[in-house]
Amino acid sequence: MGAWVSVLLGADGAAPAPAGPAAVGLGDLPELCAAEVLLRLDPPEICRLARLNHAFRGAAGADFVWEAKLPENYRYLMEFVGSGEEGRRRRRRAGKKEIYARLARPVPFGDGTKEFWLDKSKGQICMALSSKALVITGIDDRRYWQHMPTSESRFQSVAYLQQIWWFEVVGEVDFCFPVGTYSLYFRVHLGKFYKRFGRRLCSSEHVHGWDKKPVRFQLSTSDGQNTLSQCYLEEPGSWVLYHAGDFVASKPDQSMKLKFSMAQIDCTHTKGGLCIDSVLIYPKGSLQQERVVRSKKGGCR
Amino acid sequence: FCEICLTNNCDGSAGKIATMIALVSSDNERFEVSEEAASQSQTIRNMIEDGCADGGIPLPNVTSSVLAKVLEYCNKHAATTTPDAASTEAVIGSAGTRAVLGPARHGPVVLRAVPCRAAGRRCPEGCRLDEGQDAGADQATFKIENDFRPEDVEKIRKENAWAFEE
Repeated sequence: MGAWVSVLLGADGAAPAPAGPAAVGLGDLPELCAAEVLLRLDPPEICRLARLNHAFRGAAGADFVWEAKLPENYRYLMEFVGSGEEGRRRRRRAGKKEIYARLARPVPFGDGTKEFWLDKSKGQICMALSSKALVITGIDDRRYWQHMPTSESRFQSVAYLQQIWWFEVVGEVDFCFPVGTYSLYFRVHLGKFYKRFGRRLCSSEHVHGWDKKPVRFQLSTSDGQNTLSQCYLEEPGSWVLYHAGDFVASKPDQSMKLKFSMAQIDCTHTKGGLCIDSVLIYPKGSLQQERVVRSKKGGCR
Repeated sequence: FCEICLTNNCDGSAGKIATMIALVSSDNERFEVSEEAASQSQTIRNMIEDGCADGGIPLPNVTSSVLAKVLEYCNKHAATTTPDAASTEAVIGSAGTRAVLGPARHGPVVLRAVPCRAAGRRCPEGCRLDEGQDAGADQATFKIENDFRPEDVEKIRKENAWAFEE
């Protein structure tokens, strides 16, 4: 910081001050000052201001600016990116802005059945677990479940339930979450959907049994957090996010194991006509679009 | 060195019958400045007029080194009547985050302690970073000269495109 500070202070009156009226403008802001400003903005704004001039462009690439935007455990997160020696070499060379940009794109793990990414504006972790990462009772029995390829899933495939007595979908994930509160959702669709002549059509031919008893949602963590809730599935024809619960991560350097499930195991009636796309984890309060249903707390049958 | 206007080239006019106001930095250093200089800040002027400035005005978010620079600026401009450099002050950011930029003489951190409306200065209104405004429009808004070659512009667009993808 030494060199530019003395210039600014006009040490010994030797500063190269502009001639005439002191028309100092934002364009004269040195790179380090610009970087101090950018520190207070969010990443899309930083990237936008990179276009202003050389100083802003340099500042917009400064490591210390991006280090402040990255989650505290970004080194752990980067371990999931790239594989082997080549991946390690690339990670070592990457600047902090590059790291942020890479983490803002989905990073697959768990053999491609799971992925996480950073929300661009806030730099918080989001996660998606595909139906293939979940343990679904009866998934191998084609009388009950099938995998349906579709572009409506970020994993290109959903699990479709025709009919079953024992409906249970269980999942778990072991991860070091940056400090924060997160919400976990099941992305579910009542009814089958398909494209015909370019239009999206829905069939509720198999939809039944969901009005008899509510579905129970459960979420627990390895550090003792526990949520139990239930609600009736509704809104055939559109994707609904059912809020299974929230959890708090307080140790970014410690792995937390999450266990969650969605079940309706009352065997006095069958149920069916349901698509399970994925389980989603978002920072609490960050979801704006998509239909979200909050289930009621409590565990009674 | 004149301790009243904090410059080496004081002509004596600023301090003749100057009332002194004390500004206290976060690290408890007192800076005595002329009331005229301190009044360039609307906030401080209000406090002086309300009679709250007697024991000194605390500035808990400004360190002494930073305050010294700010006062140098204020004293320099107390003597002039033309609003010039301050018209480059701008507030940028979207709802929820604000960064106040100012003349290059002081880092932007400094200006967070100095209200945008230094007496008599006109600030351009806050500029929201609206979607879709192109680089040229941003440069015009902040009065920044484009110092990029056309091939640089495309490079910059490419290296930042990731931040705007869905």
